[in-house]
Amino acid sequence: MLVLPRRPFFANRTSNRSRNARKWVAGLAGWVLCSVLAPDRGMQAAEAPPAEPRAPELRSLFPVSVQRGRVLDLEVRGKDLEKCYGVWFGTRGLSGEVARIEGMQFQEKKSLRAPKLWVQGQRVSLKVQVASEAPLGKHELRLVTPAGVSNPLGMVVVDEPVSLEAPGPHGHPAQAQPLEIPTLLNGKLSRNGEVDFYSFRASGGDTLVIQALSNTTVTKFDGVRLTLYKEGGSWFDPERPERLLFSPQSRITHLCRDSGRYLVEVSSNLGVGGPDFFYQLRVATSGQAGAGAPEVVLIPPSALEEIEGPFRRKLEPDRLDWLRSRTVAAGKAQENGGPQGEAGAGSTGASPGSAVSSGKEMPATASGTELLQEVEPNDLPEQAAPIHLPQLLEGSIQSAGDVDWFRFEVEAGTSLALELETPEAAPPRFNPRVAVLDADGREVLTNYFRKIAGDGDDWVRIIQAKTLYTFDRAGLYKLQLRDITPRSGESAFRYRLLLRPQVPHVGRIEATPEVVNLRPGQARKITILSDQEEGFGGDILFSADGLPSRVQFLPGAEVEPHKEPPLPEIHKERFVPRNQTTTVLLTAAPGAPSTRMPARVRLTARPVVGGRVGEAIAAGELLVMVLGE
Amino acid sequence: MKPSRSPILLLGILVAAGSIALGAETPEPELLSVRIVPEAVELGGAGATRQLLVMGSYSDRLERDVTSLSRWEFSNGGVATVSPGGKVEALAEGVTDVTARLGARSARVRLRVNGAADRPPLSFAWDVEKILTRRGCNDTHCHGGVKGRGGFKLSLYGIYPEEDYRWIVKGGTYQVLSPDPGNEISRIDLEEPEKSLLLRKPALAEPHQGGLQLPLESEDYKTLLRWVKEGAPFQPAAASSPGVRTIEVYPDEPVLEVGGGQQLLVSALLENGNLRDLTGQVRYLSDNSDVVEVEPDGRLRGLRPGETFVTVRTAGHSTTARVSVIEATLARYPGVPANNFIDRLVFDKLSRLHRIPSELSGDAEFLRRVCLDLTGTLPPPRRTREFLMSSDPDKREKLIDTLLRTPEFVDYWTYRLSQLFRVALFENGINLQWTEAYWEWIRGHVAGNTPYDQVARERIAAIGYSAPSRHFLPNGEVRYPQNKMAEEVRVFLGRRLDCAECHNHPFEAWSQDQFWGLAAFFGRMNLVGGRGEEVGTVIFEDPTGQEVDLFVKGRSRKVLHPRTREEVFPAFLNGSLLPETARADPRVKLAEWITAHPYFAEAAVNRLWSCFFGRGIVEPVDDFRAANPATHPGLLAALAKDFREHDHDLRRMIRTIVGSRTYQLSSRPNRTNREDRTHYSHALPRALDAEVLFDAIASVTGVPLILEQESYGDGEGRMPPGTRAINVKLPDIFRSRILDNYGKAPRSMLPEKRPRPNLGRALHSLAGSTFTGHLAREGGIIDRLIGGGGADREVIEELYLRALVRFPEEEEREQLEAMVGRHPSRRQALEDLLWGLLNSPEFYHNH
Repeated sequence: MLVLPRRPFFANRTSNRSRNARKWVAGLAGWVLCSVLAPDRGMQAAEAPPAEPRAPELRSLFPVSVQRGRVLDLEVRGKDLEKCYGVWFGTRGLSGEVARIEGMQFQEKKSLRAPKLWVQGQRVSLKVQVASEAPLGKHELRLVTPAGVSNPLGMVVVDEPVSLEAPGPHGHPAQAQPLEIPTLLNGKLSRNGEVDFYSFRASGGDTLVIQALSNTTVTKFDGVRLTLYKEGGSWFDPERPERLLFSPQSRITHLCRDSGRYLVEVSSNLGVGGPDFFYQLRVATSGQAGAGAPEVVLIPPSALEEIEGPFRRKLEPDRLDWLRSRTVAAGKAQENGGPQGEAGAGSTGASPGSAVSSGKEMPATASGTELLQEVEPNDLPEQAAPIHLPQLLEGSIQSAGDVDWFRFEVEAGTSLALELETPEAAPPRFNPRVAVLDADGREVLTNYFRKIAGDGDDWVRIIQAKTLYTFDRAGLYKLQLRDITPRSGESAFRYRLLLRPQVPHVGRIEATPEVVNLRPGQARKITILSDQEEGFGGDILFSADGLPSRVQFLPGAEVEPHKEPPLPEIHKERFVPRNQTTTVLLTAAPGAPSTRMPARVRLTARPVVGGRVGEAIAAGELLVMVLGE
Repeated sequence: MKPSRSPILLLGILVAAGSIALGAETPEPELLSVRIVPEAVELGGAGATRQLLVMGSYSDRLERDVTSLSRWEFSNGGVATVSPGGKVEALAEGVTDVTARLGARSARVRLRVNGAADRPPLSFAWDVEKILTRRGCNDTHCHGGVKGRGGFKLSLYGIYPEEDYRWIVKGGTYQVLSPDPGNEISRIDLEEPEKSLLLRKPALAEPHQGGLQLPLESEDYKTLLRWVKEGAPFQPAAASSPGVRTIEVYPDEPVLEVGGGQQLLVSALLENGNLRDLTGQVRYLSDNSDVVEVEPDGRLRGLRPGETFVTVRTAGHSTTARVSVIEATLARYPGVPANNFIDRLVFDKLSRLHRIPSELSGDAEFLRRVCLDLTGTLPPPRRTREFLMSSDPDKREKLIDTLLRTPEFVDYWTYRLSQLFRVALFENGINLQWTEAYWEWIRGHVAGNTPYDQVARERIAAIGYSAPSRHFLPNGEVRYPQNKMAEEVRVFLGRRLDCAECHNHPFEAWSQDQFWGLAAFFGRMNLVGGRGEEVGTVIFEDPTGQEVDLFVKGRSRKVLHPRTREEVFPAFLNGSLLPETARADPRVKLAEWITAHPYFAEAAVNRLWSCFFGRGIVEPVDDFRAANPATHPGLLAALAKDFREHDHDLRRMIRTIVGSRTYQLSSRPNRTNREDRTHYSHALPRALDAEVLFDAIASVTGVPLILEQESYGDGEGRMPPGTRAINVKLPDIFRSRILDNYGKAPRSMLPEKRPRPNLGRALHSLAGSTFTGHLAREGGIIDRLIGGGGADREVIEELYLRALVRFPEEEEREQLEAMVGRHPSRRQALEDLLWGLLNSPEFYHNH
């Protein structure tokens, strides 16, 4: 016989007495805190200067997706939206107006360790019209108040009907909301730990494509997780479905073995939820509308996206022409590629300024680079296929251990750029390692760069999409391309490798901030960061079009903050361009008329080499508002 | 005639109707037969000796050493002579029959003396090391310690004779961190052998901290002196004696009564297949001298009931005898049905130990046990009723097969492997997606029942951006190849090599060279991506190695031996180097080698076994070593063989184990096995894992667990209500102090034994929210049962079925009905009852 332990009297938590005691202690603590803090708070409020109205800040938008040709009700949540009057879209075919503004409160933290505070916010109801010709895909929405224009939120324009998550709980397989596929649904994970189940029928042989995305700016909700189940049942729980697949990356593709009822569970990263945690869910089988819809990233791209980015840019036969368009016109500057290139550039790439000062002619082969398809077998150095510079190569690492070899000749002093594109699979999945070996089999160049990262004292190795090199010695060189691991390879490991002369040019241009809310008589700083690629040593001329009335775009000067010299990075110049920071000021003259809606200000850059000004390069857009006095 | 022994108790009763009859004890066992061990003797010339044993079989099924009681006779008295203790010595070449007589019983063996007396030249590796080992000179607390002693270092138990020879003949002092021997002054004197330090110190002719170890008149002193006089050779020029392959001890599993004795026989199996008697030339050590004491000549004496092992050591070799001391013998031993080979091996040993296994467990006991062991889940009352009512004779087998197919089985074994493989955010590179991917990889393999060797290969050789490669990234790092290696070896081979990182293993035959040879397999691991861009970290084998020092620009790393500072190349445990051609991707070869090694299967089945019996056949499960032998070596070997032969199929092995009668024995002991903790004569209650316990509480009370995020970021997330603790992928983020108190295994290290009950746990049981909050929660089981309108009797039955997986006994039912009936609040009474159930050992143990 079981001897049961006796339950002690104090273990009885249903006692009202203990509950009341806890309430009393909490109440007392609250009173003490209020008594201590209230007088100080009052004094600060009395002495503080009048606060300047803050620019509006958006947190979330629901629904995430809207159908073309419809007029819809949308809800935006955020703060400092009390006087919101305008809706701004970055795309034609979308328009909207504010229908209603309601106050609400939400919790916010100033920093990671800070306590949560209740903050006054607003819920803004919008009436949005989506024209039938509005472009599909992601678009920006901002709201406008007398204090300026807000940050953007992403919204997706789609062609198919959009449904909404049904009210009522469906956080358990037995409560799953039934769907007819294909479907596009907008839902919400409104509490921490909430999950939503949806069910649908699919047939054996169907390939299910399930995608989800989220659109909040509350960064903790940085992803929707999907789990696919099939109706099943367990000896323990007849309602338990069979777990088929989990995706931490918001996308599932699954070949159904059997016909029947399937379920998809939408959950969030780390079980975080809240009133701003909206998502869009698309379920279709391949061949159905929506199944082929491209992935849309609404929130700032993850680190993974940033790494993949450079490998995804298009390398086409006319790439040299495109590069030349970002420098001073041909004949006025010199590419660094031919054997006549800048002497004495050494093995460390082109020296700054050489493109301007050399004055030599660009090689005749520079335009219309030939595309060469890899031909197997080329797994061994002796099977290396000959190539002629400049050359665009296309091939793939088809199976584990596949290595592709090519060979080329250069003259001493030749400076080359090697650029890689991996259109289907990019790092970290496909990590193409390029090496160039001299006639003695010595590795003279790789795209493998050891840089400093983390908090400044961590070495990190990166496979680079672009590498520069100047050959000291003339001769035959062999180029090897493989995956960095010997055990990876598949048909999706396709690459394009461009070997070309270096073209000193203006690279990436980035202006921050992208939104400027100005009061008359005020100035705001714009910082423009521009990369000087492949030894570009000229100047860059910036101009702005579309400025509001009595707003000026003027050069500014800034004291460079002192920086500790970084730890030495080996051959950094081969992998990382020098960059240049330009500071400009946007000033609104006193009495400048206010703008009801933001003006789109287009920035233009022009390279200047040897005193000659090159073609205009689009350098981005700013949204500028002049606020009322 | 019967040797002296403790009084024997008479059992001879039946435990219960239908049970196995307990064997009867014999008051005066009768000698049935005698035999001589070994069965034939060959001696190599006059003066050669051999220990003989006379073993007597008695009517109480015990075989006793009766050597000293026997009388010896020779058919040809000029060939050999024998001592009263059974040691025969050759006198001259010839053949004789040797007969041992005890009462009316006798046994005979043929003894042959070959050739004339000879004195083969002495070798260092065998003859000298044998003496150093027997005298304890190279023991761990003497010169065999990590740094040696008094400036003189010997390898542990003579496993590296070349090194020992160098220290003795060339001299010098061993340094842990340097190969520099300092002043090299020989410890032998070839001019005046008696003045050799090697002899003077242990003979106390010079001060010796270890005292007198080698009296001048001892045979060992004379042998060492002779070796020096012969020129102190490492190997004699005309080495005629074959090397030693291994050593054997007989009996290797003796069973003694309290006060009983047994002489051990130790033989060297030579490379030519012959045996050589070493009985008087080895070192004996009892692991528990309270149970068994052992004389320097190998004579055992049982002191109190229990089991221990005696280690036998000689130069470079060791073996063990597992010695059991029993309180009483059983003349008759009942037949016990066996379901499979496990039972045959377990019950055979129990029979030799005169212990009778308990009865087969009842259906309810079995149901609860097997559900918890296979799925970590209590069966719902509906299933319990169904199983208990079923009269199908095969219902247990069918249930096992059913449970093995449930998703709960996948949940539970994913959890178990996640503990072993250490799935945890901080251990997998501080990246949520990586950790989830690693967990999903494990789950996929459990669900698909992937052969375990394949799982191991994927993990050991993991590369690229694959999910298992994430386990190489604690805090985003792949440095420290020694740590990676030691963990893989411990997980998959069940050996702890860690000590050998800094010096040869102090207790085992693992050398520092072996350690670093294995570590070198992990020495070329490197990253692209990594810190700052964790999402993209890719592991690859870098032919140039990796940097060790942040400020050493571009210098490639080599795995260097910490003592010699020489580069170490990948080498397997047997010392064979990985060929240069295979070093581009060395871990693939290591993974193949590990999974093909006999250690792999035995480590896997031992770990698995411990999941069902609360202890491994070797315990701790990842501490296989000569000085920690298996309790059932035959069983371990059979399980490993079965596992290998069936494609390392985990699910099949689990089915074999839980299908055995051994697993299904009752936890209720009988008189013969009450003290047994190691021989599986009855089921031992095992505390539930913290996660399983809390899931069980949630299941019984009908109130789901709430697991909230801690220790990462701003700690806001929450697992969906109803998430089981065993299904939490990130236990180091979704932490719970309660689970920690109840012994949740931290993932920062490999799982060890569960902590013992502690104050925090006791206090939580009394008043913690997990217990009290769950009972009082609206919508919980008490609410539902009261709302369902059931009578007290039905409610009590339901609570018993949910918590204990059985119906209440009639007495329990009556008392509880009375308790509930007289309580002013029915709800309160039922809450108290449920609280009592949840805090009963029957609930929080699997039994």
